[in-house]
Formats: sequence, structure tokens, C-alpha cells
Amino acid sequence: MNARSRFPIVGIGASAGGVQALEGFFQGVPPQPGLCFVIVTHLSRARDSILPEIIARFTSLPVHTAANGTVLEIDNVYVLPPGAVLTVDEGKLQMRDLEPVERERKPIDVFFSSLAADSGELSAGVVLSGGDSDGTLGVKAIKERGGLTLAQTADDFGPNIPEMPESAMTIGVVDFCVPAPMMGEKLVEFARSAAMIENMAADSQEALELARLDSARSSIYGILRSQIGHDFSGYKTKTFIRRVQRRMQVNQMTKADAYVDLLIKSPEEVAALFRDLLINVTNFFRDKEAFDTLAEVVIPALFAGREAEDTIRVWVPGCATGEEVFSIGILLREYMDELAVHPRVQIFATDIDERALGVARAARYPAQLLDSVSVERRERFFTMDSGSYVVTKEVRDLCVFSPHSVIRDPPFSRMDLVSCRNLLIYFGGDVQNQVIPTFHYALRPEGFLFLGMSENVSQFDDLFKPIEKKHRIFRRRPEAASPLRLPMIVASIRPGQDNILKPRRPQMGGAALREMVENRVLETFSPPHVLVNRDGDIVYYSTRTGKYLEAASGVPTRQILTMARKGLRLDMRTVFREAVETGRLVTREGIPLEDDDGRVQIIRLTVEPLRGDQGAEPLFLVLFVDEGPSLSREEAQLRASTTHDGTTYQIEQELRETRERLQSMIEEYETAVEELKSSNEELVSVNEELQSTNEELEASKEELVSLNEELHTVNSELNGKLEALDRANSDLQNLFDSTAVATVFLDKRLVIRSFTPAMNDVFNILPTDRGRPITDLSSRLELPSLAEDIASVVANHQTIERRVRRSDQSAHYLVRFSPYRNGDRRIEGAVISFVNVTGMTLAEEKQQVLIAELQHRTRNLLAVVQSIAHQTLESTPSVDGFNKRLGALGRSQTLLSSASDDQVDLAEIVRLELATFAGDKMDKVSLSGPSVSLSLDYVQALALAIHELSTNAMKYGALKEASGRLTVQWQVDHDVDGKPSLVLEWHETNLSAAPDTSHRGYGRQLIEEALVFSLRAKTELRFHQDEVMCRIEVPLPSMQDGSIPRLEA
Amino acid sequence: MIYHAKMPLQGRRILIIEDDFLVGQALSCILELAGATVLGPIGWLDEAIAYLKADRERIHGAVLDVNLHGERSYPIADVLQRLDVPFVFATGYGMDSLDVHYAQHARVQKPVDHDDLLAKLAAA
Repeated sequence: MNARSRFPIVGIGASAGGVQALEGFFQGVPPQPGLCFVIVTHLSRARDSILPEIIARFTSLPVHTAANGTVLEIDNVYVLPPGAVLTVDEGKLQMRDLEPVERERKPIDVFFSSLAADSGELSAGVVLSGGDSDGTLGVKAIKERGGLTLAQTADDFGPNIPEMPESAMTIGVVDFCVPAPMMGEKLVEFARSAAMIENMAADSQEALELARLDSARSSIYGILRSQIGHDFSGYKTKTFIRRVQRRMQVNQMTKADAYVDLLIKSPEEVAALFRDLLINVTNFFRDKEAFDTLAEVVIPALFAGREAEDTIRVWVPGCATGEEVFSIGILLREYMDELAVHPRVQIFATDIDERALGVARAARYPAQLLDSVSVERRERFFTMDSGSYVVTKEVRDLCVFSPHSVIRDPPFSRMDLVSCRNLLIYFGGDVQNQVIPTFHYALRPEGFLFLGMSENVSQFDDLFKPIEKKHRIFRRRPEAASPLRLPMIVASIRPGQDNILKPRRPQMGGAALREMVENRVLETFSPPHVLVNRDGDIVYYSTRTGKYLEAASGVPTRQILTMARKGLRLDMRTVFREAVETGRLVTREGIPLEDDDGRVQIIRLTVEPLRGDQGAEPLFLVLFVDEGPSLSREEAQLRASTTHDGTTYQIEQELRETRERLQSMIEEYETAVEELKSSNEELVSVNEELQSTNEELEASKEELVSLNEELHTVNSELNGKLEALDRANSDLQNLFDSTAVATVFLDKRLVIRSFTPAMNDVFNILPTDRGRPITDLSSRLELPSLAEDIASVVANHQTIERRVRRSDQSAHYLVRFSPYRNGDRRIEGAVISFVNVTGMTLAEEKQQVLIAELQHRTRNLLAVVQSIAHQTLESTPSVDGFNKRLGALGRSQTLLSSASDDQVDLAEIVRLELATFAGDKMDKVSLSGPSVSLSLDYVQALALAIHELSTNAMKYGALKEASGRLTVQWQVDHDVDGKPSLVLEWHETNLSAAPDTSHRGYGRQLIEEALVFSLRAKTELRFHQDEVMCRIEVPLPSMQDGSIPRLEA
Repeated sequence: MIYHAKMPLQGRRILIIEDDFLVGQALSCILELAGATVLGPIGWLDEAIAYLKADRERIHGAVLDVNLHGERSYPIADVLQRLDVPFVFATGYGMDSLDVHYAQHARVQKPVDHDDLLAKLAAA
């Protein structure tokens, strides 16, 4: 910081009712106060624009509208224009305009925090009239940096709306709670002392005082050490002196010695100084190492062995504005993020102060308070909202804030962790002695206690054992039976009694004995007495009061005037009234009291007001003292006459007393009448009120009736919608259950939302797996890139398709990753569907095989054609024979292609071939044989052979001659090894001439050689006088497919 | 019918392994016309291997049908390779359907282009 900004800057926060308060404030500011003022308001755009002119009327100082980059100067006033957020940096104002729709909800906190960070001890924060709790965190920031803080209390200038200053005051960081006009004086004093410390040598007088203060320092250290037990000698001297000086200023002292004297005399002042010295107590992750240790040691222990249905309970008593609560919440949330299944977490944050709780509930903090929060945590757990950081919902929802006093109210119980940082320092030793056992009661066995750096539970070693002594983490000793001090707490709660929390003093022998004796003596020898309040209601009876008091008829009462025995009642009334009115002891002697036996007892009646605590209701002690023994009626009269020497005197005396009584009765009567009058008036007005209330109620009732009607309508509509929703839901459920398409819905973190039952074929998935990441499950598919694919879909919003196999190769799937969009079309995860395409894939593969096979056959066929052409055309260059052979080939192909499974029945081959040639001569032919299925190789070779035989029979044999007969028969034989073979016999008979056997043409070659070669057949071709015989034996492949030859029907 | 004036396979002993009689006949004819001494044709896998295992006069080349009665003829190819007999595959399947282990061998597609076959046998 350079010389330019070496003057104090005062931030002034005001809201509703602020103009009036500002007027009061500037009345108290003298010319040249040595300060600079910056005014931050909540006032709306429209009204705010003339604020500088208004303020200029209140003060002689120059008033400016703040602008971005304005350099602050001493003895000037700057006003925040509407619709902007103001911060300060290096003595320069930084202003950011807000969007018209945007609204900074805590501009005062924002400015004060930045002021504290910039000017430190030279900053001052003033909170004037306003609603809400803005400014509270701001003054805390200023106080933490050693600045001065002021809040407005009531006077002529408001505050009209006191919430804002009261909120600041209740969190205990305000140095001066004064009316607005008195603030100027304090601030000028502040400026003066600030200048004094900054320029030590400037003024010899002040320097001398400062030197004295310095010398008084060590004695102050001593006082703090002995009274509080905390050693501050390690603190920064300048900070220490400044804080001491602040206290001196608050106590309106200038001399250091006087302040030391005050410290010695007043323990309260020592406590106040101690608190000021420790003021920077609540920050996010204050004492980072302690929180780190908490996260490493305690939090894993809290979660250990907890199921999803368990609850982890954390109590943060004295949570103030919530920083400690949210710090713990963040740690817990971070740990929960690492767990797949985590228990529920509840953080109960309590404080006496409703306003501080309001700040905590809002969960909205200026950036400066987040200094110690890492960037990652800021991004993860806070959202930036126009200048302030707001705690995210996931952390906020863990916390429950409620008003509660750790001293007065019954404690919470079954807690896993109690975090009570820097609360005990505000308590005296006796209260601490009460609170720490309360924590012991509140914790589960083995629960943890987390205290502030300067706190300890060393005097309760039997209740807690230290886990991390350095960071003040303790564990409840499970074995220690709680010396249940709870009833003591409850018993000690008596209304109107503040000093209830006295340390329990064990009753020592001597004192106890003495007390007992005293009690006994009092019981026996003291006069009977009662204690009444000012209305005459008895609150305490001593023994032996029956002689003077009796139970009155009617409703039971404690009213002493009703209960006093007959002769006593008038005197009692007079004496009691006098005592109440004068507040002094009143005694009346010689009151005769007639008992049931007709004897008269003269008594003395004394009423003495008892001065109780300040403000408490005064009580009156009524004493009944007997004067002499009881007398008979005569003795009494005698006594009376002798005592007063003559009846006249006695009567006069009585008359006088009676007059007095009458007078007091009259007075009482008049008072009663007055009271009745006013009561009557009150009743009338109450009646009026009731009347109007009644009317209002009537109107309200009508409204309620109509509202009820409306609600009925809305309700039935909702019911209808609910039914529709139910139907849609059950349709969806049925769709899920019935669909064969395996589908799973995931959120962004790959956690399963829901899935269809068909998913079971794809993943080892159970209904209980909802909520688990899908990557935890084992897949039956080969899907290594699952996680990347999902991430890519979520990031790019593009559908991805993939063909995958099941790990056991038994099925194929088409996997489709699509983005999951919610109602707002935002991507919230992914949908993965698995379509079983096994049939399709297999069909495709089969098709490939078929195409290859077709090609093979075609090419082979062409090779055969090529070969036939070669052979046929070479031997007999006639196209006819070639064509016929091609015809036979073609027929065999026809048979093959019409066959369902590449198998052709032998009978069909023979019949088709013979039919082609024999045509109308089929009556000459007889065919017989079982059904034999043959494959491609066999069909082609046999068809060609039969073709050749048929051609031959047509040209030269049985089919040529009219008398010729042709018999074709076949059967399947088995050899010794059980191997099957087909035996076909071609028998032509009744031939008129012996066939020509000399010609060994291509046809014969085909029969005799091709079959032998291709099918390992045995062939025999014989020609006789009138017959042709051909025997073909073809080994068949073993019947493994069960196609045992069927007998032809 | 004489297709070639020259006789590129003059004096060579060529083995034909082909399961179809007619195709085998045609191949024999072509190779004989080219001057070769034809061995076979042999139509069965076991016969072909038995034939090759029997120690006999050197074989200069072979035409090997890939499909013999539904079986692949690769075992024969292995034996031929071991005996250092160059050979040409004849296949009815596509040119690329050979197993990758045998992709380096010469091959002709059915129906056989005679000149192509002779050129490949001569070069082998």
C-alpha cells in the first residue's frame, strides 16, 4: 500500500430507511474528518439517482457519484450509482454495471469484503437502517482484518428498519452500537488513532502513550494467560496493540495503565479482549490443516461400515453464519462422491441467533470469505451469482439450520461428529464444564468431537480421548458411563434466572453441617411467615402458618387477603398495601386474633419487601409474631383497657384506625373503579376488534369455501392426470417387460437409472443395480469402449452405433448409444439399446458362403463344359452330340437347383433322363429301387453315365426296337464293414440283334472310366446275344445324417 | 487339335490332381499337346498323397485342383512344397479365396485358359 491510500476508508451500507439514517450520520461528521466515505445502498434504480444531491445537503464534504476507476480521496464522499456493483482495489473504485434484469442481493457484503481486503486495518464498516442481513458478512470481514465496525441503534434518525444493523450486531463483531449521529465522532477518533500508529514519531505526546501501551503489553499478556489460559505473546505486536487500542477506544480510555487496571478488575473485559483477538474465527476451512486431518482421519471413520439406509449425523452448535457447516458439508460431499453407495448425511447446524442462521440459510458469501477455498472446490461447490458465491444445492441440502442454545436447550443426541469450533472460548469455565459433558451426551459411543485451535477438553479426560491433539480432534470414550448431567441442566432452567449456570460446588463437611443446623433453627424458632408477590399471591409457606391463615371457601386460592383469618384480614390488607406502595417495611402491633377456642392471641404483623434481582418481580415477606401468651376473652379486654387506660382512649384509637382503614378502602375502591373503567374501554375496543375480526372471518370463510371448490376441481383434474400418468407408466412398464430390445438408461456418471428385463442377456444386471455405475457390472459382450462411447455421446450429442459379439460368440448385437434428453431437451445421460442381430449376421455369413459356392459350381460346370466340348468335338465333330450332353448336364443342374438341400433322388435322375429320350416309349421301361439321395458329384457323374446308356439304348438297343425291354433297378448294399454302396443295374433284353461292341466311344469311356475315376465306382458293361447289361456299383458316403434310403412307395 | 506350335513343356513330367474326370481328361490333353508327360490325373486326396509319398522319378510340375470331393487339397500342396515340386492351383472359387498361407503360389481359374496355365507351368 502506498502513501496515497494512507487514510481510513469508511464503507457505509444502507437500505430501506437509509436516507434518514444517512442524514443523521453526516450530522455527526465534522468538517475534515480525515476519512473517506463510500456509500453503498440497495435503493432501486429509479429512486436512487438523486441520492448524491440529497447527501450533499447533509454535509459540507464534496459528494461524488462513484465511477469505475475513481481514485478515493480523503474527506470526500462517494455514492454507488444504481444498477452496479462496487469493489475497491488499491484505493481505486472498481465498478461493474449489472444487467437490467440482474440484481446483486448483497452489494454491501461485496463492497465491505473488498474494502477489508484492500485497506485492512484502515477500513471501517458502518451498517445503517435496512432490511435483510446484507452487511453482516461484510462487517465480519472488516473486523477480521482489524478494521472498525459500527451499527446503528435507535434514535431520532431511525433505523426505521432495524434488521440489517441488528443482524450485524448479533453475530458479535460490531465494535460500536450507537445512534447514527454519534458515529462520526467514533470514526474521527478511529482516524486519529490510526494515524497515530502509522506515524509513530509524528506527535511526541501520542508516541509517548504508544510507548506506554507497548510496555503495558507484557502485563496484558500475563492477565490473559492467567485468566484465559491462552498465551498471545507470539502474536504480531502491531495487530495486538491495535486490538488493545480498539478495546480502549470502546471503553473510552486513553491511558494504557487505566486499561490494564480495568482488565485486572473486570473479567468481562478480559473475555471481550480475548474474543477480539480471536475474531477471525469463522472462515471456510479456517485452520486448513485441521480440516485436512478431519477429512483424512475422521470422515472415513464416519463412513466405515455404513449402509445406504444409515444416517451420519453431524452437529455444529454455534454455527453462526455457516462457514464451518459448509466446510464440513463440502468434505463429506467430497467423500460421498467417491462412494458408489453412501449413507444419508445430516448436518444439524444450530445457533441462538436467528439472524446469523438467516445468513447461513441463504448460503451466499462474498468472494473474499472464500480465500481459503481451493479453486477446484469453488468450481465444484459454489455457483457464482453476480459477485457472490452461492453454495450448491447438493451441499446446502445436507444441512439443517435451526435455532437452539447449547446451554439452555436439551442437546441433540446420537451424533457421529460434533464440530464446535471457537464457541467454547466465548464461555466461562463453568459453562464449559457444563457444555463439554453435553457433547459427551450428544455423541454416539466412539463419536468424534472437533474443537477450535485454542480450545481443549483436558479437564474431561475421562470423557474424551484425543485422536489428533494438535488439531483438537477427540473421540468419545465409549466406556465412560455418562455422568448424565442432563437432568441438572433441565432442573437449572428456571425462568427469569440468568445466573443459573453456577459451577456445582461439592458440599463440604463444615459448611453443610452449618447449613443443616441453620435450617433446623430457622424451622423451629423463626416466626411463621409466608412469601407473597405484589398481587398478594403466596409463593412460599413456612411451617406453622395455620394459626393465621385458613383455606377459604370456593375455588382454591393462594391470595393471602382471602386466606387470612377473619380478625386479621383488614389489618393484613392495610399493612400489605402500605408495604407495596411505599416499598418499605411496615409493622403493625397488637392485632387481636381470635382462635377457634375463643381465646385471643395478640400478634404483630410485619410485611417486608424483598429486593430481588434487578428487574425481577418484587416479593414480600409476611411475618406473624405472637406477642405474649394467648388470653381468654376477658383477659384480653382487661389487657386492652389496662394498657390504654380507659375506654375512651381505646375507642378513639379504634376510630382513628377505622378511619384510616376506611380511607384506604376508599382509595382502593377508586383505584378499582379506574381500573374497571379502563378495562371496560379495553373490552369495548377488544369487542370492536372481535367484531371486525368476525367479519373478516366471515369473508375469509366465503373465500375458503370458494377456494375449496376450486381445490376440489383442481384435485379431480389432478386425479385424472394422475390416472393418465399411471396408465402411461404401466404401459411403459409393460413395454419394458415385453420388449426384446435390451435398453438401459444412464445418467452422466454412467449410473443406471432403469433398464428393460432383456438387459439380462447382455449384462449381469439385477433390479438392485439401479443407482450403480454400469461400468461396475460385467458385460457378456465384447464392449471395451463402453465408457468412452457413453462419454462421447454425452459430450457430442451424436448417436453412435456399433456391431458387437457376445463374449461366447453365441450372439451378435447392434448397440446404439443415444443421448438421454430430459423435458428441457438437455442432455442428462445416455440410452443404450442392444438389438439382437444374430439371425441377420448369420444370414449374411451364409450368403457369403453361398455366393462362393455358386461361383465354384459355375466355374466347375464351365470347366466340365469346356472338357466335354473338347472331347466331343475332337472325336466327332458334330454339334448334336455336344448339345445332347450339354442337355443332360443342364437337366442334372435343374434337378440340383430345385432340390432343397443339394440332394437329388436317384429315381428322379433316371426317370428324367429316360423320359427325355424314351418319350412315348416309357412303357418299355421298368424302374425300381429305393429312394437314394445323392449329392452334386454323384448327380453329375451318374446323370452323364445314364445319359450315355440312354443314348446308346436309343440308337442301338432296347429303345430302338419294338420288342426291346429296359429294366433299371438299384439298391443300397452294405459290405462287411457296414459301408454302403449303390448298385445300379441297367438291363436291356429282347434285342433282335446283338449290339455292336466294337465301338468304344466317348460315351463308353464316360461309363467305364469317369465313374471309376470320379466316384471310385466299379462298372461292368456286358453285351450278349440279345441283351445289354450294365452294372454300376458306387460307394456311398457313410450315412451320418440319417438319410437311410427309403423304400419307394 | 493343336493349339500350340511350340511345346513349352517338352520332356516335363506334370502331375494332374483333379477330381472331375472330364476336366482331368481335358487338362491331360492340353498338357500332352504341350509336350508334357502327364501323370494322373488323380481325383482323391489320399491317393494323391500316397502317390507322392511313393518314391519315384522326379516330377517337374503339378496342376492342383483346390477342391477334391469337397475337401481342400492343401495337404497335397504341403507335400509338393516339401518335395520341391512347383505347382499351379486350379480353382473354381474366386482368385482371392485361397488360404493366406498358400497365397504366394501361382493359380488359374476354371474354366482354364490354356495359354495362361501353360505359361504358369512353364515358368514354374
